[in-house]
Amino acid sequence: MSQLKRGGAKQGELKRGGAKRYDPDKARQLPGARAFLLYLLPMPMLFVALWRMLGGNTSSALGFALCFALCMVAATLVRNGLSIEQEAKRRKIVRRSSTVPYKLIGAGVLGGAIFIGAALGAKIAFFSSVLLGIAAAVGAVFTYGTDPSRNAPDMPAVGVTSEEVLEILNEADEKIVAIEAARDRIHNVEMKDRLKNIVKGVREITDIVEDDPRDLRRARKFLRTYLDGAQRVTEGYADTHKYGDNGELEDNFRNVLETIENVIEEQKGKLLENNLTELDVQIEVLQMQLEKEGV
Amino acid sequence: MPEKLKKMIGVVMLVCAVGGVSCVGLLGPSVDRVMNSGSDVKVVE
Repeated sequence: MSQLKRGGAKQGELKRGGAKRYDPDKARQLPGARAFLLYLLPMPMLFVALWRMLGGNTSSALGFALCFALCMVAATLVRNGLSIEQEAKRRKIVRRSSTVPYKLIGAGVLGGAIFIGAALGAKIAFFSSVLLGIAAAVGAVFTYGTDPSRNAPDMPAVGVTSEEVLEILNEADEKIVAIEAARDRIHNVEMKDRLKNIVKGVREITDIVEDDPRDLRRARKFLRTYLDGAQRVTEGYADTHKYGDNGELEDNFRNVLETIENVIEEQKGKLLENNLTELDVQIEVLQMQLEKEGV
Repeated sequence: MPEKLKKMIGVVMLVCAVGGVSCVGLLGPSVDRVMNSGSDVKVVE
């Protein structure tokens, strides 16, 4: 039944044409910006460590230095966890490496760091140091949340791993960004429109693959070979085009774009046809099951 | 607990714990000096 629902959703999404725009810069900035507090808060400890060292209090200086270093490790771990969480939200497929609970480990390391800083550096009583450590760890968990599900969906029946699917989808996203960048340098309105259609079509195909990674087997060649070719041709045309218009070059480029558009349509058709066939088979199986059980 | 409240409490806990240790580190010697300055005072009856 879940298969039926998935097939239905896929077609609905295509009708809406709700292709997402990939913004690699935004994707990279957010986790860093969110873990900024964890990098910023321990900064005074570095100065305290230096100050204590100059004052001849070596054990206290070492305590603060160790605390600062561990805080940086904790911040990096939490940042890594946030990055994986964000990718999981952006994509429907979770990377298998997210089985490591980075955020939880980061919170634990932060708790330990604060305990060391309080007990060894600031010479606070043992019990109070433990309380401060616990407060820091709980605070980190409350602020940054827990890690995404550990049971990342593996796809043994599909014949591809989630890592492979994500790698190909990320590569496709980068190629789309490159094509869009080259498109901005082209002034020919017709070519711009054609490239816009191509990008839209490619995004629809990546959405289909993301919804159902089994389609990767059929779309892999397109996403690797054809998209790579489209990127190279578009960049080449954008570079040559700035030196002036050339009729023959434009005709050739137009032909290439037409071919790519046709390939995209064929590819989409194949993927949808395959889903419809699957749907038919599932309906038949369901009918047989219902007849057998006398419903 | 609402997610926003949980985050706010988390930030306050983080700032208090991490910032608290830093503050004690910065102000510790001054606090010690103030505390120890009273030890020389003798009460004369």
